[in-house]
Amino acid sequence: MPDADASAPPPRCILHLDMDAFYASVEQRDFPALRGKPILVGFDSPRSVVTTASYEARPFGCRSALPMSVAKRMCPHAIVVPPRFEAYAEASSKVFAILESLSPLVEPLSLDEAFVDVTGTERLLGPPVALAATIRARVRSELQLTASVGVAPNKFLAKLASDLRKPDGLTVIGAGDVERMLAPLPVGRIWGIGPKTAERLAAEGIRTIADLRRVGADELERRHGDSGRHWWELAWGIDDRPVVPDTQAKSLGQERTFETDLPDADVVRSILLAETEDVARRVRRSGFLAREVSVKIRFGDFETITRQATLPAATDVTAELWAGALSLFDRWARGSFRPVRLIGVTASRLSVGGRQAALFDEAGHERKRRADLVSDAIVAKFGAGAVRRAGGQTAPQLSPPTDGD
Amino acid sequence: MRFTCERDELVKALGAVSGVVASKGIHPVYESVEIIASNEGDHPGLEILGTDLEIGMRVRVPIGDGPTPTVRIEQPGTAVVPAQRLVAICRELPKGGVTFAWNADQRECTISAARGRFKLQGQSPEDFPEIPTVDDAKSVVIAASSLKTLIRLTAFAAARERMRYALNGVLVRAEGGVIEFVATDGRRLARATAPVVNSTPGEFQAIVPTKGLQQLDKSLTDGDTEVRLSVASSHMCARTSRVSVVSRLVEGSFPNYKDVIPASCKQKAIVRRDAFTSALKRASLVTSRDAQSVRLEFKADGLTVSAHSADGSAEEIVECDFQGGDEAVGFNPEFLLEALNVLTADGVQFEWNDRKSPGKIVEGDYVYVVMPVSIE
Repeated sequence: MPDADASAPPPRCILHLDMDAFYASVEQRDFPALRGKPILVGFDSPRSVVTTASYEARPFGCRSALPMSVAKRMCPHAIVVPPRFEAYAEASSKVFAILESLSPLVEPLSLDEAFVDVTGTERLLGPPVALAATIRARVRSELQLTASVGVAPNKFLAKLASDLRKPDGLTVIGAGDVERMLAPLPVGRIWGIGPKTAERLAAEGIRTIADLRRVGADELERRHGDSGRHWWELAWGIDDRPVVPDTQAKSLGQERTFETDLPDADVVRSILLAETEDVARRVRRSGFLAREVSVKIRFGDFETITRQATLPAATDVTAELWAGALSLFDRWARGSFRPVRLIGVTASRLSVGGRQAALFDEAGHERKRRADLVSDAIVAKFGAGAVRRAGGQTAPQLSPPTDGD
Repeated sequence: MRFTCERDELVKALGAVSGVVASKGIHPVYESVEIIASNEGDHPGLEILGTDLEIGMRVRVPIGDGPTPTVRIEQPGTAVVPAQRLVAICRELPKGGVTFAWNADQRECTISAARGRFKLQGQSPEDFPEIPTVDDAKSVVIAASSLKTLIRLTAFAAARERMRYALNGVLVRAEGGVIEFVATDGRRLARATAPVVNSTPGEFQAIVPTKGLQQLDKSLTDGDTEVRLSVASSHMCARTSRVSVVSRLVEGSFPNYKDVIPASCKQKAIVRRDAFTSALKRASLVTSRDAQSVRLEFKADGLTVSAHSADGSAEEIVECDFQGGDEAVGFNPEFLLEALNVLTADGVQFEWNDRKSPGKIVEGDYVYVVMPVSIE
């Protein structure tokens, strides 16, 4: 057996699973009358945004994070369906149970999206492509939902792959496909290049990934700093970030980028709440307590601010993490709110330890904790996850904001 | 305005006041002290004022009655000067007289001592923020030493996070000839009392920011014997003949603390304070920084203090006086150590009911209640 490459690590095999129009599909599954029709999941109130648009609504321009009023104008015959988060959490838990039966290395990105590192499972589980097909088949038969799966040697390519044939697709990008498959794609496919950056690059004559390669790493770094070099690496399919399951994480966070700046503080606040609920669920599921919470806000001009707070005690109670995140957000928003392009929340300083009891239960600490456990029980086998991708599926008004006191 | 003052007295007074003044204000006037020199009135001498708008402080430097006066005022007046720079300059001056002259038109002060001469740009006294006055309608007089003890015994237990405002302060209650300080962060609570010297005219209750009390504690020196505490709707003032500190009060309602202090406990142990402190310190070295807990296991032959985390484990036996069944309870060691640190007796009386109920440390009238941490 040749061992010329004995020192090199074996090529990795990463799957990226992305449920198709997740919330909308769950609604169409549970209510047959909605099947084949354009639906908008979200609250039908002036300040709400669309959390998911079904594929039937997308040709009209409807997509997540769009103000509901705008989406209804674009597609007047669309049916607005209020979200049922427990149903999505339950479906999500089943999806994750399938993934975790295959590999311990499952990194949730959101309720409906995850990376799975299946490197070295070939002898046990069969070739990765067959494995991906099995996952899709199980999701279809056990949940009556469809998922798109990408198979590739790293996270960037796997995510890119799952997106190439959506919905209900299976795409493989092998090491040998990188040069050819990526070249014609628009630069916006690169992680970290949003519409604004894409515009700037277009002004430099860089429109496709092939253009990006031609400019070269040094020149990109000169023009755009470290991100420039990083884009160049991704353009050649180079990405060595590991798949990190929550139980090994140093922090657990979630953020969402919007396609347009959100001008309404209440909407941003409600999205932050939904994110906090997901993060709290992941904290509990991983057996951690968090001592610190931070809120990240980015604006249309890419200026980014981060605010962090130490919590009174390490906690995994949603309401306590929310009290921290909310006070950070409100302290900023009260004096300096301006339209927000990205909002995110992170729980950090994670530890495993005993739970500190409270002297006064006026905060309803124990009651809130029990409520969390009940809601987690629905998500029994796993929990939810983070949304780190543009146009994710979290929604405002997940539950009424609770105050910390 | 022009005066000469002994360097040591000036530095002491300026040092105290500049501790209150914001180091980075929205306007230079908020980073300044106001100096009033007057030969008239009940208190001839200097008065130095500073505020960060939450806490205000006035310190007097009296003319002095010795053969060589502390302050000689040649021309009375009012000046407003950057606090940190003025203190820094005065600290570096040699012992002896410092002459301070203020040019009101230029808003400029000149500080001259034995060999040096300094000029500082000041601000208009008209812009200096007003420090609220508090009348004595509700006030008590208390020994300065008692007040310092009350602060030391309680302030550390107040919440440090800015999430529950009412807990960011200490409840100060005067009633029936007794003054009571209570502080809690929601997980532990400290309560201390002291008799008042004079309680006419009365009773009051207010939540005073921890920072204001700490400032007060720092400001009181050996020379201060009695302090008058006066409370109005939004401010508290503590004053001696030399210094006065005015603090804004915390709004909000203080939790019902009386209900959470256990009246009697089934279990009682007496542990030597120094040995208990050392054992807790060593055990806390291996606890995780963000979710600290130690396990206390009381047995007739000793108290076992233990901790374990991903980083390691510790176990140590401390002598204790305990009658009762074997009982293990978990606590945040920091919460215990902070209380042990302010106690004075050799033996610590520790009481509790079970591993889900609060523990209690008692020394005389002082009570410290601490909630447990769940242990497996």
